[in-house]
Amino acid sequence: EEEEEIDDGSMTVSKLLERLKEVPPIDDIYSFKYPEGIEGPNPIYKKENVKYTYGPTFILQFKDRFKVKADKAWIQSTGSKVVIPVGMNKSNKSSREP
Amino acid sequence: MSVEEVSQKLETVSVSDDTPKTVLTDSNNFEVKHPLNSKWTLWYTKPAVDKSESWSDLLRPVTSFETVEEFWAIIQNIPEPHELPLKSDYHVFRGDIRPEWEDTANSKGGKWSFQIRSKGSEIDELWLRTLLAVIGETIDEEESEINGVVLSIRKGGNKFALWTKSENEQALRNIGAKFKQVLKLTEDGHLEFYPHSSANNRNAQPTITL
Repeated sequence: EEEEEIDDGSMTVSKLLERLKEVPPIDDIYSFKYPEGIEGPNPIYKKENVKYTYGPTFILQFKDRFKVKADKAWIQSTGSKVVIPVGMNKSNKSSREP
Repeated sequence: MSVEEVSQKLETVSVSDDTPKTVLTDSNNFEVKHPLNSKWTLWYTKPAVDKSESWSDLLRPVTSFETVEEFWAIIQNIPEPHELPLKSDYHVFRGDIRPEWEDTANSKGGKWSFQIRSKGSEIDELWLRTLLAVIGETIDEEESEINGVVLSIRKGGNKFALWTKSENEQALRNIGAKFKQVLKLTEDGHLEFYPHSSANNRNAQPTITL
């Protein structure tokens, strides 16, 4: 429990939240140029009065490309609020899973 | 100019030429973020372990997020639905709306509800699909109708509910049709709309079925 946290340079939730405070938002996501291999937001989801809309395919691209680790401070302040009482976990597991 | 100076200059030019980096190419040194159209708050209902615990002890806001980046950071670091205990819920609601029908933002609306037999990784996938459609604003109408979404882990089947701010039938039908696609429902899967005004009535019937 009392293990020292090792900073291996990977992104943690706390570091991410700090960085997000510093960087500006993309203004127009539909004209933003993404590098090759990344599909920009699909304009079929554009709305007149809603500035930021993202199709599921676009948001899903973050899943494997962007990994963020929970750090101690974040777990303490936030992550631990999802309380699973002892002995109650995984009661909803599919019977097909090992 | 020395060779060194020239190459340095070229480097600065090529860097400033690039569009700013996002987390999709550099998780640590990204330069811009993807805002969501609203702030959203994740709430969690803990199952009661003893009778003295009231609803307000059990239902708690976990955290808020307003960018695609924060959304993933949270999703990757909280239990997936299949890991949750029975009688727990996840709620994701717009801004500071409380996931309760008494909240003034909810009181004139209702919910599209569906009980599903899927468990395990299937439920994880459907919940993720629902969240992406809600926070990306692709399931909602031009004038936002959706206040939030709830996943309830229950013995008889997990429940999905999409909460709306009004009972505007045309808007609800449009949203319901898209919700069916998100949940991958076939013709025989029926979504039911219940106004919150009937939330206290045990025998309430849905006012719309899709």
